[in-house]
Amino acid sequence: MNTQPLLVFDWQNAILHVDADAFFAACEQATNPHLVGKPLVVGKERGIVTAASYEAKVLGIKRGMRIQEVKRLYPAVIILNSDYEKYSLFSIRLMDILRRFSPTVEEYSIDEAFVDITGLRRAYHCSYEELGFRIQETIRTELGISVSIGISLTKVLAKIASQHRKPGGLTVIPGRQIHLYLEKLPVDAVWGIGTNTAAWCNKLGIRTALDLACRSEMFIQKHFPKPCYEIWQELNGRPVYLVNSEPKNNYRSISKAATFSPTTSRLVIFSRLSANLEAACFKARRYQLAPQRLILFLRTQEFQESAVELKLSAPTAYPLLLAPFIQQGFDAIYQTGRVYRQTGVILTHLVSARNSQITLFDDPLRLEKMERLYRAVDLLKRRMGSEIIGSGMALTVSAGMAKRLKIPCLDIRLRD
Amino acid sequence: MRCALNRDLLAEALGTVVSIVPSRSTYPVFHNILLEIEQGRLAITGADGDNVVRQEVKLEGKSEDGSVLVDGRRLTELVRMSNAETVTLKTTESKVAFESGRMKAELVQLAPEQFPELPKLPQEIQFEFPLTTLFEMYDICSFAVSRDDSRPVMTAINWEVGKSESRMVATDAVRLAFVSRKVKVPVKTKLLLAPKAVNILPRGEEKVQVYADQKMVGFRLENTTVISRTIEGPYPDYERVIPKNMPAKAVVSRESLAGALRRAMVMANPVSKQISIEFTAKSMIIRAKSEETGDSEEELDCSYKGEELTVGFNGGFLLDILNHIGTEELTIELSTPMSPVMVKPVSEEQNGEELFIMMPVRLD
Repeated sequence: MNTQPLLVFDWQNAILHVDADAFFAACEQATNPHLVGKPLVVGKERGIVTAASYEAKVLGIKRGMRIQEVKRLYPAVIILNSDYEKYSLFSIRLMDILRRFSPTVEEYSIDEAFVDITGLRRAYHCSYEELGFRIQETIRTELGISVSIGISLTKVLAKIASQHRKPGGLTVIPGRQIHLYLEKLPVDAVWGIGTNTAAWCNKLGIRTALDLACRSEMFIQKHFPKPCYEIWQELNGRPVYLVNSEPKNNYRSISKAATFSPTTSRLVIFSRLSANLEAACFKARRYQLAPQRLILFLRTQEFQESAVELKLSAPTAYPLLLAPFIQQGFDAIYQTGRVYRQTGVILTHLVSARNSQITLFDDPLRLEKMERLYRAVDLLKRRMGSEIIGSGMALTVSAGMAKRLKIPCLDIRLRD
Repeated sequence: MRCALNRDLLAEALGTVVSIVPSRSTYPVFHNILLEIEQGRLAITGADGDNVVRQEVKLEGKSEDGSVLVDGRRLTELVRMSNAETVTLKTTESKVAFESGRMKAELVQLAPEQFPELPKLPQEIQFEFPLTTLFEMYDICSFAVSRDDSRPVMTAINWEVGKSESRMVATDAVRLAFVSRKVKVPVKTKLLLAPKAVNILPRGEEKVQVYADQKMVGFRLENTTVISRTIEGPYPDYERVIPKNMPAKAVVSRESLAGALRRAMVMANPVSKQISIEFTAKSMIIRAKSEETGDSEEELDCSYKGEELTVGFNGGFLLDILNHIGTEELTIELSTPMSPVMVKPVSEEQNGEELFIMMPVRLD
């Protein structure tokens, strides 16, 4: 096989990929010292392992395993509910640390990011490897979690580098060494190549990432669609995918779903669904969007889904105006007696909430009040957390029960 | 069953029926049409679950009675494309033989019993109505019907007849079209028509017999019968939203406003189609602005009485209204940038009234 270097230079540009190791489990360990060094899985409420600490992975626990199975096979493993609030807080702080080093940070997922570090050697008076090490150390000391870092010329290569040694790895792939890392890497392990493309590659005699990288441009263009051509460029150290540091703000749809302990209670399921709506609408309002359509779905314990799509006569992101639709939609899909474990809301056909069309039969005063109400709600949520205020529909207890349990309720009236 | 008839005559009759045959339906049987021959008349029936249309054709020459169910669109295409003057249809054992000139075809036939039972003409209410007026009213207001099925009642045309006048109203909650004509009908009733029911009626005859009850409406012409399910009400209270005593009023040429709007629409945001109109003492200034495309401005002479105002509109909706006004001049009546705007043709005629209402768009 070709063992010639793919490139004759090392660094024309440099991209760093950060991938947190067993992120959810690491967050739990970082916030609770008793959990450090112990096998631990997260995902109790879903009944499925969403993340396992490295100590648990060593035992053979994998993501997607049933919690019951874990309990039976490994009684010593600690099983926790997932706490997405906590993970997203860690994620925000992780990204903030990265932004301290370079302004160009792309938040690829909750626990992954690409950082453009081209030219930073001069600013930090150190090599790219040293810079990677500093970032890793800062995250370790400030957040108490471990990350794997990969540095190379393109995003695809940086991702290969960060996967090369996990956990806690730091792998640098300069231009002249690309071929050494691609040589033994199966083609389907390349970011962006799925099982179908991999199968097609195998038919063309391409088994490793290097096989793919070494093919001629003509060959690639003839046999592959554009995304693969771009991956081929990236594997050869020519960046196509840029690090996109812009926060995401043009959404096609917004969805919020939640898994909970399986239940048959109509009240609980409906309140979960209302909470999903509340959260999805809050996000839509933040981007000044309003949906024209709404999809509600329920999932049973047997993973059977039922869903309904509702068309709105006027786009709105105010849950109080949507309440009657939600009730109607829920009644259409909810089956008494079934055990449900997940609810979700998807807002689609999003349009700008500004310049909204006024309608004939709606009371403009009511809309005006609604607007003022939600302006206040959003302000509170942003300042004090999204849990601080919400629609009563999302409460899991009935109003009567709330009174008996003495749950404090505010009676807010709008001043005219 | 057997008959021979003029190609054009058959094509016209099939055309009327096939216009309601759904191209895709959960009930494939509706893709078919029913052909029945009885006593020298051919009756063609099509349905879509909510509407039924039955068209009769008088046969000349010899025919054999019988009935059959065939693929409606396919038969219509065959007849339309035929290059001979006569078409012959004949049932064989399991097919329908089609013959026209030197072309022969055999269509698969289904047993007529598979076709759902057709409703009878409702009998509770019955009156006669001038067909041209019905179409005139329909043509003025049907554009404003809602296409959104989240509020089914707004997909209907509200037709009111009575001893003093007849009215038709359509609205999609953003705009509303109202038309009244001095046609007196001895019974007073309100019908929520599916627009399709009127649209499939063939034009040309003078009078139409209307039959109705709580759930159905039927239209009977000489050779055509349409029976349609009415839409469940109640219809929104449209009289409440028709504004009275508007403080500001502009009079403008329909043609020049439409032209200016079309030009502004080139520069408007293609999704929101938002434009703004500034009303001043002697002119209207039409502006379009979009972050992606740029902006435009055009001044138009008009006579305007009232406070100076700037109102945002969906330009497409305003153009729709203009396209349904037949007069040279029109009036635009306003009160505030957030309240309904009324557009009326300026006309001397006294046979009825037309008005359009549109809700503005909130400007930044």
